[in-house]
Amino acid sequence: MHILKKYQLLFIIVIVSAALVLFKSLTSSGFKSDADKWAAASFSGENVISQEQLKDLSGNILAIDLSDHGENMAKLPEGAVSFPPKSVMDDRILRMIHQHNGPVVLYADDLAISAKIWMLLSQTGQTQLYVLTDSMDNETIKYKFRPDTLIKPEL
Amino acid sequence: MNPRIVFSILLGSFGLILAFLPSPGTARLTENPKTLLYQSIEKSAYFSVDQVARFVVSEDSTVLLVDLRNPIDFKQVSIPGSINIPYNQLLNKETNLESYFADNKKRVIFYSNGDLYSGYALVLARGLGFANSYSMKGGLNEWFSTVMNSAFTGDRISARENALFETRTRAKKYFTEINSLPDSLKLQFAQKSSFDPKKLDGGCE
Repeated sequence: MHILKKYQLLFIIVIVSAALVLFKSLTSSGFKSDADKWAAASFSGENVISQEQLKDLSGNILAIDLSDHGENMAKLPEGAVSFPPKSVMDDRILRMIHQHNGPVVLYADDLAISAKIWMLLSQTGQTQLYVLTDSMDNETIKYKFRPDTLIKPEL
Repeated sequence: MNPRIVFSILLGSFGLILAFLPSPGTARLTENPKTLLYQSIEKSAYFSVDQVARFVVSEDSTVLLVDLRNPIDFKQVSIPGSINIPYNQLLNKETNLESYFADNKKRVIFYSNGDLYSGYALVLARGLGFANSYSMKGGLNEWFSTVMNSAFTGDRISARENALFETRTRAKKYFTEINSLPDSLKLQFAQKSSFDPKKLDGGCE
């Protein structure tokens, strides 16, 4: 006790600075550290699945239709839920997704929307997260460029 | 208490703090998740291919186009003025992403063949605090469909349609010129044809 009293100022400084540093680094946002790790599935494309692959997915699937009025529910398995894209990060919905035990599948008319929400949810630490797409060739170039061999550039 | 013990306690405490900190160099999204979601999916986060065509034709120096495809695809064909950062290397330390966003007035526009990679990249960049990042809606597939395959059909054309068609035609011509060149000449041609923004600013050094 005597030591504590003698160096109480020192201990207080250490404890307060430790608390501040940890608070700042661990709770600055809802996102996990090491963004690269949480984005890894998107580098290989293993996070994107087709309707056929969805049928083969095992476990308790939570399918989410990212539309304002549930327009895409018919494309999703039974038990699917629908949320407007802007509400996905609301505490209630986020908690429901995080507490789900099994694959979570995101679907939107616009693939850009489901891709962005995949990245956001993934960065919060959500695993077994998939983007459902109607066609798997979104990132495949569908046109062939034909060079003009007659071009004479003025250099 | 012995000062050496006090010093050891202090050192140990700071060591513990450091141990709990995320390792340096690992990126972490710092924006508020809800704000980031709104910012990422609103229309102002996109540029259409026609808007990008206008930037290309006018050689807008406030825009930086970032092609997220692999280097082989980038070499074969890319939008004039683009730089290549393969999506899977976006967060690499070597990429030094912040260097592209150093100029706040510069708009950094991501594109790939479709909407997937540019969507991911936009969230990552904005999440890391780079608010001047955007994506090109539809990617190169939309660019080919709208700009490269543009054709006028009909009897009448409004002034607006005419301006749009003219921009597309000029962008198509520039795109074809650049991408028809051998790799060794592409950079040389782009540098030669690009304007010096200082000339427009009207200032002298």
